[in-house]
Order: sequence, then structure tokens, then C-alpha cells
Amino acid sequence: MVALDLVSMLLVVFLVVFKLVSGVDAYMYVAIGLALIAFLATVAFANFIDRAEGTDDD
Amino acid sequence: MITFLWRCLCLVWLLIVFMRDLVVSSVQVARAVLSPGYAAKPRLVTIPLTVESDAGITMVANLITLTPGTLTVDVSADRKTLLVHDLLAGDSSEATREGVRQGIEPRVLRVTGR
Amino acid sequence: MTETLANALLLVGSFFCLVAGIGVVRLNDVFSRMHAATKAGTLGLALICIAIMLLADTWLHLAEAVFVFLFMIASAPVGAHLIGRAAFHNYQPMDPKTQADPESEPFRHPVRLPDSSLPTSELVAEPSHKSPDDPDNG
Repeated sequence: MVALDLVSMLLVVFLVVFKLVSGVDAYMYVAIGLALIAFLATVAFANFIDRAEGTDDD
Repeated sequence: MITFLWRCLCLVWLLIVFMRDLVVSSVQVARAVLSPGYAAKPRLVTIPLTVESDAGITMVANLITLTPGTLTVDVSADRKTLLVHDLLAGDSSEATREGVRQGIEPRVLRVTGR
Repeated sequence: MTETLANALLLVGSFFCLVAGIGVVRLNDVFSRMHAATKAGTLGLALICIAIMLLADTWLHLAEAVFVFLFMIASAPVGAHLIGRAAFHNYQPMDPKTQADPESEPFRHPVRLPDSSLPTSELVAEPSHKSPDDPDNG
């Protein structure tokens, strides 16, 4: 879970830097979209695990 | 109108202090991670809240997460207590509690008003 | 001058991203790892975005960097909070050195407030939509 959160954040960082290196504007739009979607993924996963409380003990 | 401007000013000040806190906390975490003998004593601390509004609680929780050493874990169901994980607390929870009560909460209260 | 500053910021930012990664590998329970991932990662992203803002040549590029910065700053603590909550409710193993305030035990079992908007029938054993008692999950 923590690693998933970190990986998505590092992916955004990578895209931003890659936009700087390559100069293709589209990478920046991808980074903006990913910055939103990554957060939603974390929220969904955390809610899912929290909901499974009691039925599953790990 | 005056109160609105004053609140905006307080918000800007809050953001400045927040950026400084973020730098300090990241340097602390970096030191804890990179020092060879990692011997921090984490601690779970409960913090009674004086802020009541939803926005206030959210701001306090987010600021706690990004300030030195601490990370918000949970809010109690009656919204009066915050559960905080402190990476470098040691044996007493009083220092953490006082840090939030005197450092973060008054600044948030000046912005949200309640 | 501006370029030198931006390059320095890029270097420091990537150093903090590296620290975040090392921290996730090296620390030994969920909560400590989240400290590393959230704080160091956020600062790394913030510094890199500031470098991009310094190097931007049009207003659009500057605005894009500001957007990335704002979205990540706003969402990282909330994500960390939710992960910590889920881990705490599910009794994830903690560092044996961790001490806890005695008042923290009730947080393990959140009181599910009865949802008055639902009909109380025996067929509905458990309300299946969102739980009514989380005030700030995004």
C-alpha cells in the first residue's frame, strides 16, 4: 500500500522531469492526470481494506 | 470584509510556516533513514482537539501529517480526539501534544474561526 | 543564474525522492514507512516542481507545474491518513519498540453510528454503501 502510493508519486516526478528533458508538452498533461488518479487509487484501496476488517486478519 | 482579508493573511502565513515545517520534517526523516544505527522509538499519541469545524479538523490533520515527526492515523467518532503516530517521540507524549496544541491549532483557528 | 538554481533544486529534490525510496525499504513497520514516503516524497516533488516553474518559458507551462504541485500537496496527506487508518484497524504488526498511549485502544473499534436513513429490516443485515462515520475521507 505505502509502496503503491510512493510509486505513483515517483511516477509523477519522473514524468515531470522527462517533460523537461524531452520537451514534449503532452507528458505534463499526463503528469497532471496521474496526480489526480493516483490519489483516487489510494483512497479506493484503503477503503477496501478497511471494509474487509474482521473477515480477514492480515 | 476586514475579517476576510485578515483570514487570507493568516492563510498565507500558515502556508509559509507549513513549507518551513515540511523542509524540517523531511530533513529529520532523511537523517533517521540514512543514519546507520536506526534506533527511533515510535509512539502513538492521542491529541484532544479544540477545533470543531470539518475544515478545521481536516487542515489540522493534514498539517500534522506534514510536520516534523508526526503522522495522523485516525480521528475519533465524536471528532474530539486525534490519533497521531510520532516517529521520534521517545518515552513521553507530552512534547508532541504541546507542539500541536500551541503550534498548529492556533494558526488554523485564526483561519477557520472555529 | 536561474538555471543554476533550478538545477540545484532538481538535484536536491531527486535526493529526497531517493530518501523516500530507501526509507520505504529500510524502516520496519507501516507507520514508519509512511513517514518516509509522505514527507520526503512530498518535499522531493515540491522542489522539482519549483525547479520546473523556474525553467518555464510560457505562462501555460508555469500553470501546469503549479497544478501538479497543488494536486500532490493536497492529496498526499489524505492518502497517508487513509492508509494509516486501514492499517491500524486491521492490527497490522508494529515495531516492537512502539509505545502507545492507553487512550489509543478505542480507536481500534470505531463506533459505527446507526444509519437512520435506511429501513431497519432483517433482510438488510449490514448497510452496504459508504459508512456514515468518516468525516473526511476525501
